[in-house]
Amino acid sequence: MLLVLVPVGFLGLFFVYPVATIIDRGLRPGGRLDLEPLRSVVSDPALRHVAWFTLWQAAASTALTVVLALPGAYVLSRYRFRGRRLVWAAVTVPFVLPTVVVASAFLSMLGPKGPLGALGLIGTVWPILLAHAFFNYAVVVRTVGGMWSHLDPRTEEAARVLGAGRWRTFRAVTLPALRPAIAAAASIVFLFTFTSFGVILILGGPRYSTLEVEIYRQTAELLNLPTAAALSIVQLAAVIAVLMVSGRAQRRRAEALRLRAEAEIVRPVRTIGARLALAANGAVMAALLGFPVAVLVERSLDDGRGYGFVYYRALAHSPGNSTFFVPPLEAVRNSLVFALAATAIAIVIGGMTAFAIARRPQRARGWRPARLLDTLVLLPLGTSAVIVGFGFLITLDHPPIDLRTSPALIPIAHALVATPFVVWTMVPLLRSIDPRLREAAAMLGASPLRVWREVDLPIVARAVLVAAAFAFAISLGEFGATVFIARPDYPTLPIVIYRLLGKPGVLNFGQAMAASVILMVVTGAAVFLIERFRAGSIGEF
Amino acid sequence: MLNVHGLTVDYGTARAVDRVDLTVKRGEVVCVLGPSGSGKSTLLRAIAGLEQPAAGRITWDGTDLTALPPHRRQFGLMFQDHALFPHLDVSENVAFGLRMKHVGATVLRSRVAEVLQLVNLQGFEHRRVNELSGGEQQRVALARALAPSPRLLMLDEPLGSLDRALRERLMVDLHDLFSARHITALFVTHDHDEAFALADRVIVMRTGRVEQAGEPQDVWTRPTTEFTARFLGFDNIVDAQIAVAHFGPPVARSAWGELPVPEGTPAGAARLALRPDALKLDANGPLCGVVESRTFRRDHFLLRIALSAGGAAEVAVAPDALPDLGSTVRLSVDPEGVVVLPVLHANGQTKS
Repeated sequence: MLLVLVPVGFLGLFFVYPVATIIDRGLRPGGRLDLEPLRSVVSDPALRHVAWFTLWQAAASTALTVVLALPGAYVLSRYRFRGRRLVWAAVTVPFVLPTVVVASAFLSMLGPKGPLGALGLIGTVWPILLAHAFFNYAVVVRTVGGMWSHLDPRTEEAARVLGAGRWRTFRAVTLPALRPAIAAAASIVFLFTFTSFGVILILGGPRYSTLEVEIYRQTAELLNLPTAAALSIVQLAAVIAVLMVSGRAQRRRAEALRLRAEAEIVRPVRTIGARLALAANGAVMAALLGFPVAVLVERSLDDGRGYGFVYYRALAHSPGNSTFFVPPLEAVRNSLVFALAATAIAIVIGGMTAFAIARRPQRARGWRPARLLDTLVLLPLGTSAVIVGFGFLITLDHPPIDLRTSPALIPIAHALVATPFVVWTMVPLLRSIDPRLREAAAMLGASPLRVWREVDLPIVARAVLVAAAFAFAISLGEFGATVFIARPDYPTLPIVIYRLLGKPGVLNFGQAMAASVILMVVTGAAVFLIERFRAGSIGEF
Repeated sequence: MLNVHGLTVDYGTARAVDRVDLTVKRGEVVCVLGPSGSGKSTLLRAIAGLEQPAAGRITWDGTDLTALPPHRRQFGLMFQDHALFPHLDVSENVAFGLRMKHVGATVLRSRVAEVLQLVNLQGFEHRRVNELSGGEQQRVALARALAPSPRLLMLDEPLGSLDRALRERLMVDLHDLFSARHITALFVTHDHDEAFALADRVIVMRTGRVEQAGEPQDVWTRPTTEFTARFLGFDNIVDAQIAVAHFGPPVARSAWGELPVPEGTPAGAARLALRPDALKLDANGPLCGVVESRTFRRDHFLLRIALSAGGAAEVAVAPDALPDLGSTVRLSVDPEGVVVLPVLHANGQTKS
């Protein structure tokens, strides 16, 4: 029971209560039902334009990502070549990179002084779309490639023997089998890009704004809370609709297919066509994923007179005329402390939730609270960090809960965003534990608590580590919620980068690049650990 | 001594175990034999405490265990497919039950070595259980169940997942182990060879109920119901009317013709079950028929013979005496291979 009560209490207090308050503010701004703000939001042409842009940029980003990543999924899932595992891991890194870092990288690459500055893309929608493709390339490669590498090649061989050409075989046999995976990946990408915040705030300039960005601007710049609340309601409704559609697409993925072990399917690169496919995809990955990161690193070292650590050193000092209360480098320490705290909270809350969900008896009564938890815990993922941050801002700053001055607010918000990932990592493994192992332990004299300690816990230990690294990376890069609640004296690294980017001058820009590189390295280390643990666990249990 | 009285287990609306009575005396090996779905595994799980009975009592030496959770019953259970802990190595698996009993480190080590020796797995201490073969896993599971010296050892299809040759070897090992260690054991299987080789007493189960119980020899030679007879491989079953003459043995008039029955069979309606070896090819035999099919069965051929009097019989013959398909053969019947089953009357009661 405690397993259920603690997470429900936590989510209720820090998620449901703030979101309910937003809805209340939006629908009853003066204390009684008043649909005027909502109506004005819906009928305002400028805000309609924002909603339309949110929708079409998400659709365009999704399409671009799928088109770029599908061939990548093919070569990574069907060919055996040296460094395949490394490439597989490397394409994952962008997915966990902080949005602020990615935005800086694209800014440095496409900006007026960047190597691709001549293209004049800044100010157009392209940096946004490309940054989204950069982020979500891994989602498509992993989801579709994961499926592709287990598809029985004999159905394709059968089609070939029956007289279908290569392309015909792909369209008639392979594509239908992959369609559920593609739909699932596309719906995840759509959800992520629909709620994208940091990328658009930094790369969108004054011209492009999504609902998320608009909520932030109405709150932070215009101090127009009723409009922000009304916008949040629109965003919540839209996200729930997207979640439902993507949930349906995901369920269809569980369709019965004849799957084979990966080892039977991957084949060595022999033909010239295969070499060309490999080379072309390598080029796409290098240009899309590698180049922005390389430019970011280069710009962080290039101080105009040569290469050096000028910008890195500058991070250690607090400039006298600045809005920073602390030297930017101190933000590194803040970020690490917050990330550790957020990871601890997310593991405890997410772990308890995962155990409660996985332990739900299949046929007994009394599972309703756990079921509620099932749904509740996945909501923060769908709702967007901006709404979490906005909700914190308007609810937790006055009695009964006054955490305004407490730095604890930040790790709590980060934990809220990370908890669904923790649950999703642990539940499948917990569910896969053979119930007879627990019975065997009981027969050997282990009490229920002892069974949990001796069987469940050791088996999920590795998943807990993976989940922790995930939560850590999420917290390090979290921007959408933090930007609402971070206090000037406790900035996190993404906040510092954002502020540096917003200020004029070569030094500030260089420092932003340097801080981005630091953040990228720390996050990359966490991802590296994820891959290490995950690699070890394949086929283990 | 284990005493089970009126045990009933329900799965939803289905009754898996229905008013089963059963005792296992100290040092006795009892086998529950039945086809899949007969409720035998559920019976075992209920005795282990892993299933909640709907009714009935389970006692050990007079102490009621019915409400006791499984970890306090001091019973051992060897699972079908073993259920070894994948995160522990062989010796850690075996030591698990001893650790739960808070056995000291030295005693624990020597006991683990002792049971591993017992199952012939010396030197396997630090192997991962996933790297073991099926037979080795089976031995680890047995060692793990034996290590804490349970007062009752239960085994669920202990040899079920193994190939034939391995099964036969392990059957002998288990038999030696049970008798050498005076182990009190209750095991379930669907394989009658296994049951007759290992058990002091056999309980045949059918759809949750005890169909017949007794010593292996008795159950084999005198099945009391058609279900048991068929389950044990008495494939030739025929209705008959027994007539007792003043001189000579009693005779059964059946659809197949006249058949001899054992001395002392009472007169009246009966159903006869013939053991596979009760029918023999014999040029002077009383039964006559045509060979309809021949199936090769490793050390013999199984003939299906359409009898001229009506009906069909199955006969095992040696490969060297194989008659041609479609040829006419004569058969004789060994009265000792004929079992007289009670006739089931319309009201469901049997008449002896």
